[in-house]
Amino acid sequence: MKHHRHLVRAGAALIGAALLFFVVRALVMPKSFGRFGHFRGDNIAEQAAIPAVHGAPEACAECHMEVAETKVAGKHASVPCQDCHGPLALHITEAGKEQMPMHRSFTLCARCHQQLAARPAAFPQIDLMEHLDVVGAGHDALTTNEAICFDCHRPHSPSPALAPGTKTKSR
Amino acid sequence: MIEAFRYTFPTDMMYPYITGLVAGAFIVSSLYHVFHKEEYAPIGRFALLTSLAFLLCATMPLLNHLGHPERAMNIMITPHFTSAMAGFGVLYSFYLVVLVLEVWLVFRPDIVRLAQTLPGWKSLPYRLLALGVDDLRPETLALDRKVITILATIGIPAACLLHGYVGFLFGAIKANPWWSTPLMPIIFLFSAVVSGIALLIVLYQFVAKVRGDEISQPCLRGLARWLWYFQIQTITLELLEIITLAYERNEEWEIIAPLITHQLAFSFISVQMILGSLIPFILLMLAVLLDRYLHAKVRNTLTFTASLLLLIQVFSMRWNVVIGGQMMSKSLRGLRDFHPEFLAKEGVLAAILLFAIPFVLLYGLAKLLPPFGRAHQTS
Repeated sequence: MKHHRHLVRAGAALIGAALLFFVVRALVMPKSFGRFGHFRGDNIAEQAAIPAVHGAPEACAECHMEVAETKVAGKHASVPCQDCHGPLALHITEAGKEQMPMHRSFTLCARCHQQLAARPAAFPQIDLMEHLDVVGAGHDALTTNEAICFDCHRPHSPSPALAPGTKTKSR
Repeated sequence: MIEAFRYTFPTDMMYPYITGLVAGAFIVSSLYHVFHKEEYAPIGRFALLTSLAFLLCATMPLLNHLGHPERAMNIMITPHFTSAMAGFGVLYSFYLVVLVLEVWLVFRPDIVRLAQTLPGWKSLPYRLLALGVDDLRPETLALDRKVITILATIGIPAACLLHGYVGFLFGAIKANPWWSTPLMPIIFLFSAVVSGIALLIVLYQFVAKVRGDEISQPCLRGLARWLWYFQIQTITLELLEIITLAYERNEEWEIIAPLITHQLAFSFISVQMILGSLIPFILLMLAVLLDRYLHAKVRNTLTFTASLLLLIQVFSMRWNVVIGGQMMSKSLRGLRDFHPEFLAKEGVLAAILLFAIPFVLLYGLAKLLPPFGRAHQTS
């Protein structure tokens, strides 16, 4: 009698598992995979069909030329409009002009300007709490006034800062 | 208050740690199954189960890190060999098959016996595992032993590749000078063996205590020698890497020096180098060089303590590599802080739970396939 019966059965189980893998692979692999490269071919059409919601700064400048000129002349020249404002498609819709959503919170300013050793030394950055002490606003201001940065800084051209409390809403 | 300032770091460091334990435990089991070193017979089978339990959990930290863990299988279904992770998937699967086959053959005599002796449904898993063959004749078992040796021989390079590969995943990131060194796979591999042997010494002594068994001194003596040897290799490589960086004084040293002397001062200098390297080096030196004068209890304590410290050393090494590498800014201008969160998706609690799973699994496997007792003489 042979001594390797169990080994043959184990080998058969392994081959069975490998076959099962290829059957499952054939069932779950998208049909368009590999049509253009190592990815799902249909994905290109799906991505192309997603409506564009953002616009280039030039599109904003078509109506807001004055703001665009202020921005280009200032320190925020390279910051795209839609970093702080909502996507263009929410503002200009087929139904007409809608209110543009805006992010005025100090948390947004802090994303770039919170002090961080990894940033270039010349880049304007602050320790937010320390900065509030220096300008005399107090730490409580963060809970009562989310848009506290705008009290002194104009978002489209933030430097130089204005006197505290000037409230620069638009420029 | 300011959520945007927090950085989340993955508990991915558990992944190289667990994978290292897999490779280390397997190499210990090979001392018995390939090189037929009889003194390791008491833990030969247990080391295999340990390797399997940890291997089954090795990818869990990565799956926890992914936003869509269900997509993980995509790299197996449509592998692309320019992807380092896809290569890991293939290696992992190959090693898993080799390990499962070896475990099955090593435990086959017990499986057959339990299938025949256990009553009713309790014998069902064993009858399934026996594949309907109850042949335990000496010629058949001799053939099994040959196949086990072949599988374990294939398993050694597979285990080395598996963990060397984890080091490669880091070593091949050329934008990160703290990771990018060809030494990385070798350091990972050696420290994997250290962690594997250390884990087995700790588990073996713990299990022997719980079971009331006597700890085999020849086995422990051998493990202590291997552990000392691999520890010396590992620490030498780790120090060589730092010394080379420090001596060359290339531009990356400007950022690596403050990284290891400030940000990682506690975890690198205090834990990895002093608590985890120097102290166990002295303890193992005593255990190895003064071996003939040592009482069994003293040897047990020395090796147990050194092993625990070395487990901490390897853990801190993984921490310093994985976390340290992410503390540097990509432009090498400065360093960030890292404060691990406790309850986050990849926080401390998640890491503890992830590390507990392989131990629970090992307990279950050891219940299913008892690795200790009379049966080990048959394999």
